[in-house]
Amino acid sequence: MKGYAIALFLLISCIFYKVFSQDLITTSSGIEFKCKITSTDSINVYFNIRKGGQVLKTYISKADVKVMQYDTIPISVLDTIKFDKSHLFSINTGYSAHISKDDILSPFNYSGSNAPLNFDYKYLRRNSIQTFSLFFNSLKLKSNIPDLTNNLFHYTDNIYAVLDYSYNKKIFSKYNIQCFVGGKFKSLFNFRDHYPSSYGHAYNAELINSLGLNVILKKKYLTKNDFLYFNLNMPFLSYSVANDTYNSMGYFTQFNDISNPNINLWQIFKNGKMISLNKFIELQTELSYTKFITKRLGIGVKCGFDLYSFAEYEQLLYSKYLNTNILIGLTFKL
Amino acid sequence: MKIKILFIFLFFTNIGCKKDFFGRDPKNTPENNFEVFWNDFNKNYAQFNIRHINWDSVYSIYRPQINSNTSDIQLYHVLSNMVYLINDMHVSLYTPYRNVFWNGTAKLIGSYPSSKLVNICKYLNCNNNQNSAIYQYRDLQGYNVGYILIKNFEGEGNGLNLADSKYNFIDDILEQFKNKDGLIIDVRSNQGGNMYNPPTVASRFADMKRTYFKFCLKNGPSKNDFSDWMYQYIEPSGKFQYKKPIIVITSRATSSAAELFVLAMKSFPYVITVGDTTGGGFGLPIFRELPNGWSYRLSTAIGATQDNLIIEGRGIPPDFPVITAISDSINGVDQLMEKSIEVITTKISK
Repeated sequence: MKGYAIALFLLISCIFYKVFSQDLITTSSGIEFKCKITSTDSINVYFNIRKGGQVLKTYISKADVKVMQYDTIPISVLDTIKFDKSHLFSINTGYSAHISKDDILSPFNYSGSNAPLNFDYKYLRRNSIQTFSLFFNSLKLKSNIPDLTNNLFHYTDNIYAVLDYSYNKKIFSKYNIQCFVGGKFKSLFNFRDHYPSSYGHAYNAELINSLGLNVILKKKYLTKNDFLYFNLNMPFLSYSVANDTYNSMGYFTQFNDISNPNINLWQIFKNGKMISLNKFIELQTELSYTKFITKRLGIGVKCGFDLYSFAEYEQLLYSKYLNTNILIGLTFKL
Repeated sequence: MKIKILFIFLFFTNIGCKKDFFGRDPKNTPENNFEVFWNDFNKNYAQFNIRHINWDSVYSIYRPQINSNTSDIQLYHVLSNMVYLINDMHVSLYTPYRNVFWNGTAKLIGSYPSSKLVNICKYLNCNNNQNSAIYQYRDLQGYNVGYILIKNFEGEGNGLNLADSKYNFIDDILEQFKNKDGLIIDVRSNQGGNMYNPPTVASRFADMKRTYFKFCLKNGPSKNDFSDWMYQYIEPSGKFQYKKPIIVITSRATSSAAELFVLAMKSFPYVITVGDTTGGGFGLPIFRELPNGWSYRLSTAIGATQDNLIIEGRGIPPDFPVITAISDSINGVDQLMEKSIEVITTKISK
């Protein structure tokens, strides 16, 4: 889990840095060459240049440089970019794949896909980003277990909903990539109604409110309003309802009473516990690219990834869940 | 183009971590099916001790009978024998061959006349038969006494209410029976259903809040991992509460959620039970599945009366034990009704 988090972060960083950064140096004599500027000091500009299939490390005196451009944006221009406040509203849908393994319900992996509904709001300012997001999907999960008869079938009805809010402050801006760090408050509701046959079924759910470290990398294209956006979230403190449940009847020990069939949501919520990384580990990433086709209207594509592991009972029984999605949608800018 | 490649790469990288993170499913082999079945019971079944079953011995007897060449039908026979050995009404196996249940008397209803009303029109006014999906209610012949048959306690609630609202129809029945001197409530053929439904009915007869039942739940893998006792209460609810003499008729077929109803009713001082001991199962069963697609259920709890009588496998003894023999049935005599009428008329006349 941690390995994947680090690998994914490095991968994204590398891609941002290597794939999308194409720098340009124009010499005093008017010669332009594409390269990768690695560093500068008071005298020289150091860069890598590809020649004959090989990468050469070299430098040029600053006195000979007329213009340096990072990723085609002149440094002088970068410094004068005006960051207006903007409100971005997006509505997205597409393909969302879900995999669940819940030891309390079944020893088998259940998976399925459906078109989710996603609503995003971003408030972009020069030095901060606030986001609000809602993701909802309702789908049927299946396993590899064969369905044998009309009564011996196996599936899980799954409702997966995420509501989150994040606030991030700009930490640094290098080249034309801005890095924001902050926190995200996230409410996760993952409800599963599992049918091992037609003869009976069982429920289980996670309702986890978490506070996590949130990192946003944003790359803006100067010539247009388009931007590439990467978001990473890792919760470290959570409030979880339904803890230490050993089997699907375990909710009786938490908040139920046969004599009172009315579910008291407040009672359920009140019986929650504060938990941390020892019980709940989650990694959530989002990569999106938004291209504006008019001044106010854009189209976007985003790739989301949300993986978590929740220790339902000590370190023996776990609920593990993965949601991967690729969505397209419309963005409105105010 | 680079952006497209990036998105596609990320999407498939993410999917690629599935196997590492989730692990592989148990393979569908005879040995695995047996192991999943045995282990699930070992970790989740709550009643080995009270049923005096050594589950490790069961393993050592049956496991050698399973190997990679074991056919489905052979596996079916082995697992069926394990189900019969436990002999719990909430332990069953569901297969394409046949579903396997306990050897209780509930399945012998045809040869157990105590579980059904004999010679109906001898005891009840057949001219005013009132029927609903759950209830049958009539007047008793010759007495100002009402008769209510509760067929089962099946049905689930909606939204945040786990009880089925159709059981609230008891209010309408009691409106009709409110001037009766007494009631006979017949649950002798009631094999249970949703455990949230019995309190809906029983609360219409409650005089005050009373404890009627307790249970503990398996809450860990060890044989002795149980929760504390959880006490259940019944209290008045509905338009009004009927508090005159009441007879509740029970039999061996009265089981599961219907036994909760019997316990709740028995907690009221004006309720008397007549008939046979109930089936003996609370269980709180969970449903599980095997790699070959078969399914099974097992009990995860132990239920008891508040004075510590464990009902699992034993049942609730009636205040006035009586059964209808086959010869009675042939002669049109329902001994449970005869006794109920005798007891309730005595009570009413006092």
